[in-house]
Amino acid sequence: MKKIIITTIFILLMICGCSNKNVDINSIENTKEVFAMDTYMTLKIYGENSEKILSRAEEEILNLEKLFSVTNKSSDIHKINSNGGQQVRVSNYTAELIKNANEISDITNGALDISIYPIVKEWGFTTGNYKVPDKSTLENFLKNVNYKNIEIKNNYVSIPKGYSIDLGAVAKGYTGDKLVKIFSDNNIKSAIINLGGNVQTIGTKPNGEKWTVGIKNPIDTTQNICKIKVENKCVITSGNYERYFYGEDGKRYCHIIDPKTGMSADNGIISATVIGDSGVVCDGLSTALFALGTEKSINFLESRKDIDAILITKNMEIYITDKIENIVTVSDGYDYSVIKRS
Amino acid sequence: MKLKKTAPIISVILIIILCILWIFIIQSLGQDGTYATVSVSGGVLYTLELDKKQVLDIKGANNIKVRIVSGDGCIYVEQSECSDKICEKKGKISKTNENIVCLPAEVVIEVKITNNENEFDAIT
Repeated sequence: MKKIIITTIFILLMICGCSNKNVDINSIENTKEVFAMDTYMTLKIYGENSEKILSRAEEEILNLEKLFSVTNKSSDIHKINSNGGQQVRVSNYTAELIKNANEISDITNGALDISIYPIVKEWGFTTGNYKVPDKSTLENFLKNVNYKNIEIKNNYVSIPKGYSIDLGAVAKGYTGDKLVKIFSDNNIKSAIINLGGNVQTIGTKPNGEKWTVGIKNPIDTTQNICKIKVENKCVITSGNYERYFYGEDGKRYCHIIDPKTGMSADNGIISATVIGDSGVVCDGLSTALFALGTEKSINFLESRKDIDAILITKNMEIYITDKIENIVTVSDGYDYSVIKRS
Repeated sequence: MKLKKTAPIISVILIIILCILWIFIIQSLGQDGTYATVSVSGGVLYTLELDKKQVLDIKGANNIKVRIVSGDGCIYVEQSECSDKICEKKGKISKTNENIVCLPAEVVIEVKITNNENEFDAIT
């Protein structure tokens, strides 16, 4: 009888033992959500000490938010805007980001312009009191819009009187880059962050698969129009569905302003996704391509092999640059054209 | 002598009986889930796979922080800043359609069986 009991217990222990799984440290996932920069952010990382690293990342986000906020009176940007005509000492971060933004403005012929802020305010996108400004008002405001008049020497920034700047078009991309650096410095090999639609990835998923990033259908944002498989890349979209209002004329006006006209950008593109290594570049370029419109964006992309993008037009035409064609899958029912570069 | 010979047979029979009993117990408790959804104020924010060790810190309604932990086939609320702690007291859940609700934070964790929603790692 003893033997029966011992044998039974032994076999049962064997069965139970087989079901124990070893936990791979590098596959331990830790997620943090942060509400900052007027958006909802999720940071998902895999690996050891991830809680500490995520707390460090959250600190960085909140620190950068304090520097870049246009409303926080102690921010670098508020100091610059309230001291027009004078040099203002700013942090390395702010100086670097303004330089980055102006470089993107240079390569896109001013399609991104961080000095557009007074016009964005006039449209009501900062307050929610939306209105369509008349032409003469916009012309007046446009006199005080030109990124080339922003001067940066070391960490001193000055803007002409009457100017105001806002880093909203590039701040999230820049923040993403800083988070990626924190994670990489802490030996994180696998991570995905989503800063309100700005997606940045480190490595692959713990199982070695590439990350799958869905791109929203701009006319039905509950659906994705395509997906892209990436590793170590940023995927950042500017869409007309993010912030918009309907004017008294029944027309829909989106928050991206064309710096050339001061009007809500309406040049054919309703969604511009940029895929690349740098968050700040992808973020700024997605806004710039949106403002440039279909033809100019395609011309721009044809001349820049180093930049990859997915453009969706008002007529739901999809344009994909040649280098990423093989990693993009377009949803059934949609066709696409390839932007070829020699 | 006779007992020596029959011991393994009786053991196997006993194991079979125990296994059958175990299956009945499992079935009466419901099916093991494979993943759980975490929603805040009605919107599903996360999908967690139950066999993966994951720690999720979320901020629910009224700024209440809730720490959810999954792994080893189950999910539970490790810590919540809510006043009643009902969600913490619920303990680990692992069966399909079992849920944990934190009313003050408007957080609902629900165990499900298949995971078709997890095709995308992120949406832009």
